[in-house]
Amino acid sequence: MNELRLFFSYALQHKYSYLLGVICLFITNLLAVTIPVYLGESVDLLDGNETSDYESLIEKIYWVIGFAFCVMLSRTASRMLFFNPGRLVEKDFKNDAFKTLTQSQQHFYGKHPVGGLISIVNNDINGIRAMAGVGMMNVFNIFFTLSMTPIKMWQISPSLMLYCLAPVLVSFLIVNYAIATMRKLLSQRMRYLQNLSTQTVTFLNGVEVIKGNAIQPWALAKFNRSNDDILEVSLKQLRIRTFIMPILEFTESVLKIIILGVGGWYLVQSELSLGDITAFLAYASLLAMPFMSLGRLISTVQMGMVSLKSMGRILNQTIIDENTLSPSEKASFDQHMLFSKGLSVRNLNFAYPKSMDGNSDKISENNADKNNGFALKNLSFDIKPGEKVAILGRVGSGKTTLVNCLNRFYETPENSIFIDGYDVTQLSRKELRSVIRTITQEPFLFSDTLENNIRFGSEAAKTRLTMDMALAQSAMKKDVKTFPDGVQTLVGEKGILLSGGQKQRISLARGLFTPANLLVLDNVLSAVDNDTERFLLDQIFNHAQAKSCLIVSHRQAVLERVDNILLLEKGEIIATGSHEELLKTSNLYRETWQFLQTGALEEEKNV
Amino acid sequence: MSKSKKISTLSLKEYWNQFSPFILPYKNLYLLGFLPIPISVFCSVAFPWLIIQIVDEQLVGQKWEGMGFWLLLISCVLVVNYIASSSYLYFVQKAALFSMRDMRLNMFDRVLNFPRSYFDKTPMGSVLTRLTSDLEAINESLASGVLAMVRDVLITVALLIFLSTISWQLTLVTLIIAPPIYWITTVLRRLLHESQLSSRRVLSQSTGYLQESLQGIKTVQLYNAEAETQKRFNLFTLAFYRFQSRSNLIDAGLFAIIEGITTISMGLIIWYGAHEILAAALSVGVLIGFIQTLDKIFVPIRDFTSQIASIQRALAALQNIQSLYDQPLETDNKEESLSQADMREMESQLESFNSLAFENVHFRYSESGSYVLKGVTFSLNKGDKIALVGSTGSGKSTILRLLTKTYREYEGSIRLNGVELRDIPKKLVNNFFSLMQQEVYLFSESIAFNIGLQREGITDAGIKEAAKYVYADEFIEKLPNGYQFILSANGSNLSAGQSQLVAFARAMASGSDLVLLDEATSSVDSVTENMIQRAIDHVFAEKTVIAIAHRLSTIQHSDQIIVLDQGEIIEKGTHESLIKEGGFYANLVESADE
Repeated sequence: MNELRLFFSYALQHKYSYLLGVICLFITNLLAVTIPVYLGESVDLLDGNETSDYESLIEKIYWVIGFAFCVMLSRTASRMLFFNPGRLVEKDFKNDAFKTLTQSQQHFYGKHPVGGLISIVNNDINGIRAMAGVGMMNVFNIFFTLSMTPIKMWQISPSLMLYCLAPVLVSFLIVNYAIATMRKLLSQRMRYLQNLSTQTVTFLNGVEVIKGNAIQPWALAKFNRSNDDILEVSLKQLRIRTFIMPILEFTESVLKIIILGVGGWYLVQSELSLGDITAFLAYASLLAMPFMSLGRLISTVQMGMVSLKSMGRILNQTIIDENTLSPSEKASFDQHMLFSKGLSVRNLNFAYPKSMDGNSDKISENNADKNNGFALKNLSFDIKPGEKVAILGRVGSGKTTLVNCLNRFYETPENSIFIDGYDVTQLSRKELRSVIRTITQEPFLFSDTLENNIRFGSEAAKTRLTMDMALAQSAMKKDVKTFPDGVQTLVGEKGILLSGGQKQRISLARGLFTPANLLVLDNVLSAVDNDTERFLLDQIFNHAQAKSCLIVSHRQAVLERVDNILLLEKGEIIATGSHEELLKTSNLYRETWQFLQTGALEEEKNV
Repeated sequence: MSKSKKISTLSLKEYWNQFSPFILPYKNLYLLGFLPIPISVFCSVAFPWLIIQIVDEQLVGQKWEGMGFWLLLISCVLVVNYIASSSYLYFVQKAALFSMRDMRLNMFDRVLNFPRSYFDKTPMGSVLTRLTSDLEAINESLASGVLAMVRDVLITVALLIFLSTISWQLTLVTLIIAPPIYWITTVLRRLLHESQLSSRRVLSQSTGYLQESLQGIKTVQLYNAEAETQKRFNLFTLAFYRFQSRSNLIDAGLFAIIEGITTISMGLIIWYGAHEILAAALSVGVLIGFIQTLDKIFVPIRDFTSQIASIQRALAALQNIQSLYDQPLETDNKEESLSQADMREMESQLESFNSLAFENVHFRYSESGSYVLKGVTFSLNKGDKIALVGSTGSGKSTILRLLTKTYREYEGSIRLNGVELRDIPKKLVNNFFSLMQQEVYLFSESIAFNIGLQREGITDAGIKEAAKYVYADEFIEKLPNGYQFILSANGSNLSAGQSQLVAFARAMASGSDLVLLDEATSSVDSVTENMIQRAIDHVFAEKTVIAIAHRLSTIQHSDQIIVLDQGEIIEKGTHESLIKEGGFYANLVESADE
């Protein structure tokens, strides 16, 4: 029932359109059942063979033609008035789903793979639209036709109407059962087809192994089994489609025979006229129609409910992103002055939630086991305004996890991270992220122009650089000159091919475009050469508008120039200090340092 | 059917040649399907004729006598028509389903034998589309359009002929309506098609944007760009909504216009018929019969354009499928041209490994590309261990790919036991090597299957022996069900090291003397490292090996180290001699030692 509530909360926004539609449908149906009456009366006039009636005959024909035009108009209008809200409901659902998705947090994406979510927004929406459009229309259409047609028939001859109703009901039950079976077979067939696709993909992935070991016959046999499954269920469907589904269509002809037979008997008894029979013949097709729609309506609603349930998974999340500071704190809170005292981390412990899927799993496996489930353990450090800090550590030591805690991409524990003394979990993510600008390890570019990629996220920002400055500070200027359309060149999937270094620098330009107080660079410069690296560091340290900087890196140039280095190992800070201090105090740092100076090997591992 | 012929007259014969092998085995079913058509058409005409007879002979005269006969007759006609038309649809489609099953299997068989270069340039999705969506499109077209259309067109023509024999004037009145209906539906459908195309385009754009935004959700959120992306997405849905409501308007109009025109023509028929009846030139029965037959004529005209569209989709699908047949297979011309005696002689020559010699081998992946091997020369004899060393792109993997005949168009000479490689059928080459690839590929089957791969001459005992050889049996025995343990997708329920050992055992199971080893670069934990090292040591002790080596221990165990750089051999020798030389290799070792 939750699904229905969700559905009507959207559909009822268009209640006036639906109401007008209902009125049009009523008119349409009223006219449709009136036309056969006039047809019947004209045939009676002809049967009467009297010339004097010619005038009234012509009049009747004018009426029929006039009605026909009215039906055309009101039918079109009623369909529009129902289908349009269906489309509007679709639009609203889609927009709201997208809105919720952009605000959903990591644990949601951990539970729901992106592919499935896209399929909900793309495919399940069809079921909802059908319910809001054709479904709603059919509810009323069936109601009107099922009440009006039998009433009109009843008015002419009650018993003949009952004779007609019987076969229609029987064939409806048969066909409805067949539709239900068909639906089951259909989903079965989809499943088999899915199996075949999965299998094909598996085999194509391993095609070299299959060819190399000459086991094509085995693969073919496997494939054939799925293929035969599809054939078998297709044959079952075919039997129903060709032998049972046409029954409804043939029922109309059965009705005609009954009308001619039974009606003929009444005619001979002079209880009915030839015109009455003509009218009945016309009603025969009107009577069968709503039953056909009824079967369709049932399946529309069923599918719609399934779709609504999937959609509910997206829409029923509660998304709160609010500043939850106490009133007294709020009074002194100034978003624009945030970071005037800097960032402090106090006893930060972080463990990955058990259910989390994807990449994070591997990381958590690596250190969590050795660290009692904690990926970060008891971290404490400060970043003062203006300070540059570097984080150094092996793969899996918790560097990226720390970054994702700072910007609350993960569920950061309370009372661990503070900005100007405010607990970050009490700030809204929006506020926090306008202060902390993270440039992630894997640059993500949209299939859009270079300019839009750099401007991305800057719409609401107060200050921003000029495009020229952003390009200059990220050493992209020269590259842009070589692009076919300059900053208007399409990048990403459909655009030009960029090198890893270019992607990183564009991502850096995006990060610099809207200045933030704390710039966090997560291993961003791994794919640029040494000279460029030095240039970029110069820009970041000396010219960037950011007050402070946190850099995850294992490059010499970085380590030599920062004020403070945090050496991370298995989720713990094992040493901190400047480069010179650490060389003296930490053995591990010294080893790492020597290793970095000689080793191209470490580079290779990290690329 | 007549329509489909017109559209593809040019290559019809070729199509037939291509696809008749899938049709001919079921020709009896097809024949059985087409036989009932004339019966169905006859019944469809007889039915209105009988209505006219009943009205005129019985009802107009209010006569009941003889009515039973007519009712029985018309009922029979109805039943026969039901059986005939259903049988037609059933048997033809049944035959078609069988044909498509065979076609799908045959297509898959072909795909499995396509050369590697095909997979390099064709995304897997498109192969999948050929095997699923395209065949589905043909199935769909048969089920929903083509067959019904063939029948409906025949029936319409027959009805028109029939009607014109009773009253050509009335038929003419009816026919006057037909061209405008056809014209209106064609125009409206074209408009509908255009607006649907536009909405589909917008939809695919919006799907693309949705997908991108979700994949880049981290970027979206970290840049506070939620509102920005929402605004953009809303533009897509709005555009989609606009196109769709346009489509709806056209669609609703189409539906209503056909209904209205049918009614109007009824009025016209009565109007014209009234004159004639009053002039006693026409019976009331004929008039009623005409009215009853009208929708039978108009409905096919209405559906005609949509069915044409469905046929076009099927033809497009057929063309796509055809492209799979245009792609040449990896067939060895040599294999086919080799006489049986030659084949046997070659088999005996290649029974066990003696020697391999590369002489001035050049190779490039595509004809326009640059060379990845530039004059590579080296040789090895039975029992030798060679390590290929070099950075990515130096050409070491290419050497293995040439040996396994994954790629063939090399220049220069590669001789196996003295026989030129390009003359040896791929099948024989496959039996000759054990290939241990860097990328492990495992099937979702039992471990035993993954090792043995049901290859000829590999027994259960052989499988266990192979597992033991690489020390994989230790962990396999501990798994639930042991060798019958079923792997999930590409071995995701094994650790990385275990997967590699299973693949290693697979390579060993073929029992050949020459092992091609492409060592994995990915860093693995020390336990795995140990497991694999032991296996490699065992292989090095007993077999002839060509290894793309990354581990120092593997390299040191080799008799000869070949250092490659950009497709050329720059150094050659043993570990000791190369260290002494102090070149590229010595540098490499030094930096690794740090």
